[in-house]
Amino acid sequence: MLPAMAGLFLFGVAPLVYAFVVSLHIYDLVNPHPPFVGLANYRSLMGDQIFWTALRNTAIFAVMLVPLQTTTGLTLALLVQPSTRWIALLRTSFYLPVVISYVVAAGLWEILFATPNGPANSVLASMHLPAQFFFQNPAQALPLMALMSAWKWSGISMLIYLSGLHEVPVELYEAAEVDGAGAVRRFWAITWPLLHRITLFVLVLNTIDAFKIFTPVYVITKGGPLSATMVLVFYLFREGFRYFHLGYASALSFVFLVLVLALAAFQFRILRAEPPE
Amino acid sequence: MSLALELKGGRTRLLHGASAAAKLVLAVVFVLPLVWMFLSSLRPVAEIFQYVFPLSLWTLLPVHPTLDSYRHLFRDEPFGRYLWNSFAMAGGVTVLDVVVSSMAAYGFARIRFPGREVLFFLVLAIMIIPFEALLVPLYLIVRGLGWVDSYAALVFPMVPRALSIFLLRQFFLGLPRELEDAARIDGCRHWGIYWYIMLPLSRPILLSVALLTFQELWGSFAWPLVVTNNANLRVVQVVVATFAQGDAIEWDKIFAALSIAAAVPIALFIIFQRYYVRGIATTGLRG
Repeated sequence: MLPAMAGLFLFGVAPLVYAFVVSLHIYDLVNPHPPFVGLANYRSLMGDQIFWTALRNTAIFAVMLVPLQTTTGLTLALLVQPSTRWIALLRTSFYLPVVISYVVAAGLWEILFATPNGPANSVLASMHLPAQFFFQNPAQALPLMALMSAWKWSGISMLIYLSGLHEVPVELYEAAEVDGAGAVRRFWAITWPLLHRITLFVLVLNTIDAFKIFTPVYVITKGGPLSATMVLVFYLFREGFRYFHLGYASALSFVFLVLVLALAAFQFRILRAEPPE
Repeated sequence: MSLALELKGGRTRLLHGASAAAKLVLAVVFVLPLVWMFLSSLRPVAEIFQYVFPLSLWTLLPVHPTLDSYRHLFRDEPFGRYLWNSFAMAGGVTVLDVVVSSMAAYGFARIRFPGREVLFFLVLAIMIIPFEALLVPLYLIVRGLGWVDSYAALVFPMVPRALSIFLLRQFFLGLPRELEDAARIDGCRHWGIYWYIMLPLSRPILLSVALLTFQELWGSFAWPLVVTNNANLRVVQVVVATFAQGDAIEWDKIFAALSIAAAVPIALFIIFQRYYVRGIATTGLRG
């Protein structure tokens, strides 16, 4: 009990408090006495063009990813519903991208969408479509990131939806069938309303996760091309661990934290329920 | 047969056909990239992109299968060392986390102490807080402890995991108390109950928690990236992430490294599938 609590405090609570304290200083690892500057870091953040770009990109990324991942997760869950041996294999295959690491997934997609002669362009060519620049094209890089993340994480949404589908009483379906409702009708009349709470829960989780995007940006684009994939966590990483503006990076961390918690709280308000357990 | 029923039958058949097609297409989309990656790691270096264009069967299948890429990887790079580092970090955190989190979970589930609710709320809060927001302050704390570039930095800050405490507490709360009452009459204290009753009963959930922890730590990237500079402490994920950034990109080694990095969690997942599903489905939290 005690070691667990000590660990939680030292590596969970303390950093939160510490982040705020550091964010009030100009902190660069070199100066032994970091000068206290009050809220200056936050003020310069508000006037920082890159910060606003990163915030916008992160939000756009979330807007692209969240609906995609949620609908894919639900679709997959519905497809693997009746449990047979083949279906179990199918479920496993949908879940494989979740199991591999984000770095591997990003590295693999970088190769798949390599230009000019990667596999993706080869597929396009076989359909007589022109080659694309993919991650090197500012207009395509961020949507492709969202597509990659959906490929990587939809299996998680699928599992959560599956646990929800298990709780739908079979009697309801049987009754509907007796009444002559077709499969489509059964879905909209029974399944969808009963999945309401799970859907909101999946939306909250996926939104938080979308805002945390960092690894693929680091691996594939480093925030480029032309800042098209500059996102919040990558920006705070660069400020903190490449330029060693640790005070500024702490302010960024704190703003990011408040933003994510506010989003979660806002969505949970809509949820108005405990997360399913 | 009335017309309405006939129509309905046709529609149902159509739905079945559509769902079968969707299953096939989606399975290909989700698995084919990984299969292509594994198979490409079995090619000689000259062949790696040779058959990508135009599309053919050989785009997927190696023409001259060989294990050279793996040989080169272990010959030219200290990849064995990187693998060991990854196993040490993921394994170390997993073992420590199971021990510490199960004690904490027992405390939360069975011991009444002042401030229990507040503390547990804290655990829940930490579960929601994105780790990325703690990257900078946690680095400064670890630096203050003098742990930068040490195994301690890779392991200790990751223990305990709030998610593990949460999962185990859920499980302990669901266990019947009668068993413990009997033990208490026999003179067992909390330690005895935890050790002789709770732990043996919760082997499956302990395995679930351990697997989830190991998988996440095996794949963790941001933390090892910022807290280790020393090449001797580099983990596989960091190596893979920075591989393609040299001057001469050696594709065969990249495919071999990607394949090894992916094979470890995939193998664990396929062997212990049941336990994964149980762990995640109960919380719906991404590990």
